[in-house]
Amino acid sequence: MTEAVSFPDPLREPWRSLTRQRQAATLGMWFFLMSEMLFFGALFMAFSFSRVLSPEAFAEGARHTEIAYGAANTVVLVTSSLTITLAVRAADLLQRKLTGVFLAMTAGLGVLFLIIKGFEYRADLEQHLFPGANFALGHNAAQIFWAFYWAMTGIHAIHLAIGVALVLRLVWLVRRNRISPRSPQFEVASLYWHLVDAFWIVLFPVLYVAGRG
Amino acid sequence: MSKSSPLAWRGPVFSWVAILFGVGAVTWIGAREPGGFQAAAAMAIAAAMLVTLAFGLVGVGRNPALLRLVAGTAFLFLALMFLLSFTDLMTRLR
Repeated sequence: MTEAVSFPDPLREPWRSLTRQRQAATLGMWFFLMSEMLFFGALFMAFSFSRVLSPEAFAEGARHTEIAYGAANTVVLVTSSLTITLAVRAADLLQRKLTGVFLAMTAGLGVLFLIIKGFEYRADLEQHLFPGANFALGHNAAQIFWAFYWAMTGIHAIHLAIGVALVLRLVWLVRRNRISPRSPQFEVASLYWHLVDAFWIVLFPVLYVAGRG
Repeated sequence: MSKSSPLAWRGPVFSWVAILFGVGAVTWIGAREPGGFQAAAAMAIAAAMLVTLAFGLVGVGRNPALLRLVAGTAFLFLALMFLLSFTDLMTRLR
């Protein structure tokens, strides 16, 4: 972003300095992330409770998850965390094109995750692993495992889709020179993205690995 | 800020590689026959991956003290929630 391009002033009311504005925006995002952590934490806790009460059924349910899809998606999401970190660092150096490239890669990896998830969901549905009348496994408690699976991965996918939309918006703004590289939006979006990645890093062992034992 | 300032990519890339090793380890554990320590080992590796993500990619350590406090408080609340709830569960199981 060292080219002679004029950007809109990133400083907004009521702040008098960009540093303070950035700190306030990041702090606000951390408070939001905190509430999200408690929300997902309650889900993880409910899952753990149910697993303690029905360990065999949960193990049977977990053995039917597609660990290859889960592992592939973990690699994709972790890589997207790397690209968004590099995007923020490129923005700090005022390198507009590089920022745009890394942001586009991040959004692309997010979309790739959702596509792989779609294939996984299709495989699950073909095996009748959705709780209900045609459920494939014998244990009733296995249905509870799969209810958690669909709820937790579904909520995560919604969060990721929102993240993709946020990053694509930033890509568009960067390409059109409508955002200053000094804007706190890059940092805030990256924090949200990292949170979505962190949730998946916990979901992967909880749903695909730990339940099998 | 000029083009001459190089992009500091080494730290994030090293963290990314470390997390990928973690993903490989968790997958390997999951592909093995079920055992007593399978869940504990997978969750321990996941915790290490989270710490690497927080410090290597998010850069929690580089944030101002107030932000570190808020982030730490979030984890404290989460730990308290788990502790209290599991204490409650243990008393009910007896």
